Amino acid sequence: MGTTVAENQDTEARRSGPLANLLKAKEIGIFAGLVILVIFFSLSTSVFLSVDNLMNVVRQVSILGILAVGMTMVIVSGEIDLSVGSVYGMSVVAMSVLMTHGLPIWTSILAALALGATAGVVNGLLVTRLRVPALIVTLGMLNMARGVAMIINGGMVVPLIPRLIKDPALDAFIFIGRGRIMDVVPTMSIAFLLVLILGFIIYQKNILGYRMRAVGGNPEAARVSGISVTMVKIAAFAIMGFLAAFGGIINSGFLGNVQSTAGQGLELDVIAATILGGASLNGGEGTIVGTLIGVLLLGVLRNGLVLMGVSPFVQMVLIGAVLIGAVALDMRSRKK
Amino acid sequence: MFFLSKSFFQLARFLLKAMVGVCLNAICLVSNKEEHVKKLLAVLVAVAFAASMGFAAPKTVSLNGYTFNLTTKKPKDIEIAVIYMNVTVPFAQFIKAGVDAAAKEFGVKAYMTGPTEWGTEPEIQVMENLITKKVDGISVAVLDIPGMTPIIQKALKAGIPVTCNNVDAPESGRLGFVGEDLFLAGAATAKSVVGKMGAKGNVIISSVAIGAIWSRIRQDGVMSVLDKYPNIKIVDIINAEGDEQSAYAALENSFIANKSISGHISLGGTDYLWGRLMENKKVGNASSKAPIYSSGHDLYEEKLLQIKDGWTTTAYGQNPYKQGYEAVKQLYLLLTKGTPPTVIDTGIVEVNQQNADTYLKKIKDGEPVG
Amino acid sequence: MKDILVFNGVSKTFPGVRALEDVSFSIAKGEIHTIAGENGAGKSTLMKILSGWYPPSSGEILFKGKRISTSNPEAALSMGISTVYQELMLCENMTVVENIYLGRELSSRKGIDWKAMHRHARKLLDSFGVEISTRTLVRNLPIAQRQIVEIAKAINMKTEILILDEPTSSLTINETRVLFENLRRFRETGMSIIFISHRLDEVFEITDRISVLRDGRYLGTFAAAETTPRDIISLIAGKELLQEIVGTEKLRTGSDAEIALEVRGLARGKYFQDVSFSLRRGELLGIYGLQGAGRTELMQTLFGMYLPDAGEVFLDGKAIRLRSPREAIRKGFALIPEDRRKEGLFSNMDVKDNIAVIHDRRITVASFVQNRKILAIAREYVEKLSIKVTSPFQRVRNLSGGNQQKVIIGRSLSTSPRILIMDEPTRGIDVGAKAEIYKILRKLKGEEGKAILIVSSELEEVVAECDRVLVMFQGRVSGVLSGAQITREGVLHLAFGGSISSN
Repeated sequence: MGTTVAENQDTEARRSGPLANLLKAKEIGIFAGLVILVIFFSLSTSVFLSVDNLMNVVRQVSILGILAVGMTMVIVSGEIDLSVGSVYGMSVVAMSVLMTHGLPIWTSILAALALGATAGVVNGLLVTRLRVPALIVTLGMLNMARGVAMIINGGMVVPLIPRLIKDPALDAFIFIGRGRIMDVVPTMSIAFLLVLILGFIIYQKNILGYRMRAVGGNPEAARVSGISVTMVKIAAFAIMGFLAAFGGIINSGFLGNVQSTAGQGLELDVIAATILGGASLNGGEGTIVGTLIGVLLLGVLRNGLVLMGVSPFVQMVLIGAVLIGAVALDMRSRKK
Repeated sequence: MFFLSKSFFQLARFLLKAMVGVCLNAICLVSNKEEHVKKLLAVLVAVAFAASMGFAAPKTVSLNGYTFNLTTKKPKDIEIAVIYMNVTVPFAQFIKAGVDAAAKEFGVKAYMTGPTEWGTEPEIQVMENLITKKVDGISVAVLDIPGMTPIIQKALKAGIPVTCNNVDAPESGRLGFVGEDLFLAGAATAKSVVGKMGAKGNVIISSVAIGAIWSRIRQDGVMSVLDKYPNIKIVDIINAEGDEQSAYAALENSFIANKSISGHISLGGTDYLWGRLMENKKVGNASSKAPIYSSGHDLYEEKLLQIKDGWTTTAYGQNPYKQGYEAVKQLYLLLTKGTPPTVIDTGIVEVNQQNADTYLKKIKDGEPVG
Repeated sequence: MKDILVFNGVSKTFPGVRALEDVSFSIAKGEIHTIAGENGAGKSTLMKILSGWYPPSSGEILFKGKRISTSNPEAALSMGISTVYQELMLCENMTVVENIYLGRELSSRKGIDWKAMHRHARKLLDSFGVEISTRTLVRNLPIAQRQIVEIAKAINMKTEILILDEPTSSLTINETRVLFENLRRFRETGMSIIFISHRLDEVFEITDRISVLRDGRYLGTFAAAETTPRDIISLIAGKELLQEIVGTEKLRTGSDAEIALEVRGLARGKYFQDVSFSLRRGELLGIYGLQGAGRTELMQTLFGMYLPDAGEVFLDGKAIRLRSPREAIRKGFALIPEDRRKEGLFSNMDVKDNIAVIHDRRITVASFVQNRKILAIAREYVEKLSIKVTSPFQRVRNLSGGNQQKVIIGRSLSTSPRILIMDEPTRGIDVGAKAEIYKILRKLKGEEGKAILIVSSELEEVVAECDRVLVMFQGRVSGVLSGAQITREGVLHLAFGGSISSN
């Protein structure tokens, strides 16, 4: 029946303003968490707050972050994608095989991006057309894409070295993965920044992102409002697949080789970071800024705990606890 | 044992013949329909013949308390499965190359198989399926000794000869082993690093699977060397699990946390990432003022290039090609000639800045280096 | 009569809001007692305190003379206070008998005594005069039967006070009648029933006494026999609203207005067959029928959510075939869906987005969303429909039911539709909001010449407001009434399968 009067209390806080729009109440909580962690690690270790180390943290989370931007869109649309690690692996394996067979590097990269996006579209089609739950579809894709990766290169490592890849652009490609601008800023993080900006524009400014929030919030109502739920979801999965391939490509430039196991297990980190950033598995809730904070939180935690000399096993326990704690706090704040 | 002796087979054959005779007489007595009786007779004779063939005493060989029949199959029907712990990792492909070569040479149906993920349970499942399939021989790389021992014994009891490759389970009753001595391999990496850095300084140890048997034995080997140098301090032991970015980040974070490192010892899977870390950080090169010496296992082209450039110091090859080849050969000889499998040490070859070019050339020429 | 329950100066304060202020009255043993009031008047808060969801800020509740000191729903249940909520709380994946005995399974020496449970549940359900198998999954039951299961579950707990929150909102007249018979029967056994409903005709039909709340304050208790709906409405609303609900002149359009929508022989599956009608500009056509008569399905088909199996639809004389709601909206249709929460609201979004979400070109420049444009649209309709919001940025889930409905109406109107399809637009909203929504409808058809189709189960509203009424029975049109033909009796006659000639 009626709403209780108590529910009206937070409305005042939601008045607009540029600052409030950038960081809605939800993100402020996790942002505060991040700040506290940064302060804590800065005080408890001597190295944490150095440009060098902070750049390391930023670099360490770049690939994760690139994928988490896509995952935000999928989760906000009310779906989930478990196949990202495998799509990442499949795309780069395909890329490496094309490169070693004499195709120009940039062509191979475009092909890999197209393959990633295609895998995403297939995910989206299966979820929306056949109405198989995304958990199942993408779990299937997780296995299929990994299998395809294995088949393509027979489970070998492909070193990205001049002996195998004649294209002179190889150095430039490696630089994108491994370089540092002015010896400080990792190129990988520049790629992440670009993805963040593009993600922000698409998700927070473009009608597509607006639709994703509507579709994730209430698919039935979206349909009645003349929104093509199918197209929106397919778009979200396609962007996810594209970004998975993109992350994989940058990573292979960084490592200088491609294994068919690339990206194995990555999906759980990506989902964890996205959820940490405030995206709701029920769909409709989540922001790019929140995801950025979630990704940084995970990176800072992993880096800071090592710097403090915490044993890796204790680290695992702490990171798991933080994930549960953050979501629990989020649920509490949403209930109010 | 009586059950397996020749006299038991003779007794069984006699009893079976007697039973068939009694049954036939009984059927003739109760049945008037001759047609049926004839058919039945034909079938029963066939069955009896088949049974007596089955009970015919085959050539056997007894090893470690288990008895195996020598095969009467043609070589192309002999099925030999070589299991690696996780066939998705690139290292498995080097073993596979050896398996394929042996299959071709002896004309047998030998192949590599194994789980597509890390885990004792999946490996046990692969073994179980092979036992059910009644393959003629199995060679297995053991991820977890206590976990795999019962299933190895189950196969042996079922008359399937089992050997180990790559990682051994010596107490399991397996018939033979082909692979490196993990303890010595671990010791070699430590000696290599200590030899360069001297008897004093800080080292980091890392592995992609700290808990796995192969990693633990190599670690024991490392410790057997480091224990002699009280002034060498192990500042961190890193478990670099997960996707490559997480593994790399684990090494990077530890490197930042622990200043003044003189050495890094990889127990497996991490030395290439370490070299990449050094290269990216532009520190620790062999020709720099403060070199950091790093040693690890297995020979990959990109790693050899790192050694050449001085970003990592040494790598030890265990000849996985030979492991795969010998695993098939041992079982083939056992099944066809009764030759008992032995323990074959595939040795440890060191690659360093001096001989890196030789091995790079071998790879370029398509030689099986791994 | 003896008082079983006494509210004694009950107040409840939430941070910043006074939900209840010094409420004192009593419920007698064996009476049906209505608590009336607009949404937000404090009824829900009072009931939640009574059923143990939270404690009062001050004051006390005496149950059989003893002070209830708990704030724990289970404890309230075990004392004999059961609540049947408007949103039913059944496990849809379980059977009827499992639901009725949920958490209180009977056991014998062998374990759960299914035999006895089925036997007792059977008896219980039979007493409601409905045929529900105890083995059916609740998921497979229609809403009305689910409600009966819920009530059976409540009764099964040795209930002394039964709270029914809007029990008839999704029931047909027949089902309501059965429910009321049962309530009277329970009353005779000495059970006290607290009844909450927006339908005053029902309130007067079933209740003994009515207590009125407004803005958290108690205004008095009246014996139903000694007061009139008019008086109660005035109290609830705080002003004379009745006129707007039933008293105004109907704007009967002349039959010369052009035909906006014509439907010929439309059919879809088991839902409806051979439906033909026409709708003129400036006309309000009511669609009435019992639950399951195919009304909602017909509206959804007209809106392009499903393809019809047969039949034709003409828009302004041109045959159209709509394959999706998207297409329908482009062609000038708008739908206010039946289930506000499931198909209408985006509870994760704020008011402005809930209104503007239906647009694409109007709120974007080169596909980029312009907040300015969204706000302009939202402000326009917030003002036009006088939606009570603190700001367009208010979360829509914090609004009252009536205002939520207005947001959805605003969304639909913002596409400037020519044909407005409204499915139960006034369900579950308070009297004041109902009146306002009809005021809006009158304006839409009168001043803007919109053609409006309205599905409603509120007979009074249909009779009072519609220019013509199409009545459906078991998927077919049983008759169309216009002008003076539209009476309570006439509509009901058709709804129960009668025909116009026999009337």
